[in-house]
Amino acid sequence: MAGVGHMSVFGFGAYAGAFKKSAPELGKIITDSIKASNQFLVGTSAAISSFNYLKMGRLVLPLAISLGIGSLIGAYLAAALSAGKLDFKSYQGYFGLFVLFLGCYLFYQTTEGAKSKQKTAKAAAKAFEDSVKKQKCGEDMTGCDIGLKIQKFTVSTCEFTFYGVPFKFNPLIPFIGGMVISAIAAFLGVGGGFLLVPFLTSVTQLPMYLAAGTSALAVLVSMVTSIITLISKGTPIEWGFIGIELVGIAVGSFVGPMTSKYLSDSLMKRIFIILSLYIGVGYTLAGFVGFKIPGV
Amino acid sequence: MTPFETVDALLLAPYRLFESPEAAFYFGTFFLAAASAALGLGCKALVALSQRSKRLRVDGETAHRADLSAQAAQAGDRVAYMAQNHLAQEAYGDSMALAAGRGAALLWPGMLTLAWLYWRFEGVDMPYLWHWAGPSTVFLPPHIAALWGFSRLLHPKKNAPPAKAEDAAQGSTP
Repeated sequence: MAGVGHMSVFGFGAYAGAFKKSAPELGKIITDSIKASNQFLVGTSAAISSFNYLKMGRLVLPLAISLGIGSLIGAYLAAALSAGKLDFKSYQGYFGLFVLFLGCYLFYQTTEGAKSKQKTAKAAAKAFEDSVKKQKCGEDMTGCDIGLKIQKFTVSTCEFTFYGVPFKFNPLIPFIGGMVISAIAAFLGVGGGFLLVPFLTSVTQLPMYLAAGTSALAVLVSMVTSIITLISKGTPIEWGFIGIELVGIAVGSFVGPMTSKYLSDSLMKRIFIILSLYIGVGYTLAGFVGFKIPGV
Repeated sequence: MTPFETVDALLLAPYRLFESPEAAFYFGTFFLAAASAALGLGCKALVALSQRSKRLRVDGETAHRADLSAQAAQAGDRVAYMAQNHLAQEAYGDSMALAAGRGAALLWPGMLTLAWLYWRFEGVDMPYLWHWAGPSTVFLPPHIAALWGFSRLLHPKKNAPPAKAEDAAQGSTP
């Protein structure tokens, strides 16, 4: 949504578009500025939040290296190859597709099919929770030994045990995953953390805390690489607008908990889905077809 | 006087305390770096206070699910482990959103000050520094150091490693 703020609320989109015929290069620089500002805004928050995980050493080093190198390559290639080349209309179209995809995914999660899958997973979780309560063995296990031991790490295999249960994954998968996610994040100017944690927990089956800690490194690498690449190619960053947006986020975070009793989480989610679908359709049409819908 | 002119005059005040332009520039910028760090930490504490009950609930849920996933793994129940891990990840997403709010509260004064510095000093050679150094070169290192230093002063116990997963779920603590 930071991108929407830059393009539609601040009006950078219309501003960049205005240079299409008179000074196309300037329009592309403004487009890069939108991307860099988005990434700074989204990535900084994620980096700050993830910093504690790094301090606590909750990262799996071989995986972090594999993911980090992939992220570095992906972010650099996407930023370097697209810097100064992407006109605003194309960027808006691709950004719109991404938002539309996100909206469709969130909408899918509200359907009966997705809910039944979630119910199955929640039932398994509940059954285990109940059995823990019955056995009265629910002592707090965090803070002590996190139970993860790397057994084997080669180019094609990483084997680890978590509390004695064996897990295995191919390190090339996080490498490629990190590269693709970071490339998409750098190309669109979005944060990659929200994609990396689910990727790590589903593909490598890492425990959530370790996935969060490990993805922190990749997010940092990706964000820093992309922003530095853009700045080194002469992309300006408007710190004042970023500061004003941060004020908005801070005020929203302050007011949000007070208003949450009037607006339930599910209602907020529905509003977000409608907004995402509307913006996604609007940006895609405006970017690729040149058709504008009101308010976008 | 417009509001912007008032803010401008206020931000310029520390630059008028020394006769030497170089000394005035460095003192003024370092002062603003420290002041914006202090304001950021204050705002972050305020946001953390308003988030307190929701944060305890969300972070507690994250820690609880992470505990259960560890127990499921220990019990050899892979299905339960994956399910609990998924729920922990969902709760972690909420925890991250709250942490982002605290991060924004921490950073906005520094970003706005940096914007003002660029408006005032862009194109001016930074004294004693290389020719391509800009306001951010002078402002960011002391600002980051002030954020770290004030944070250490406010939370000396943070030096010790957190004992519970809940601490981890909190991300950046107020």
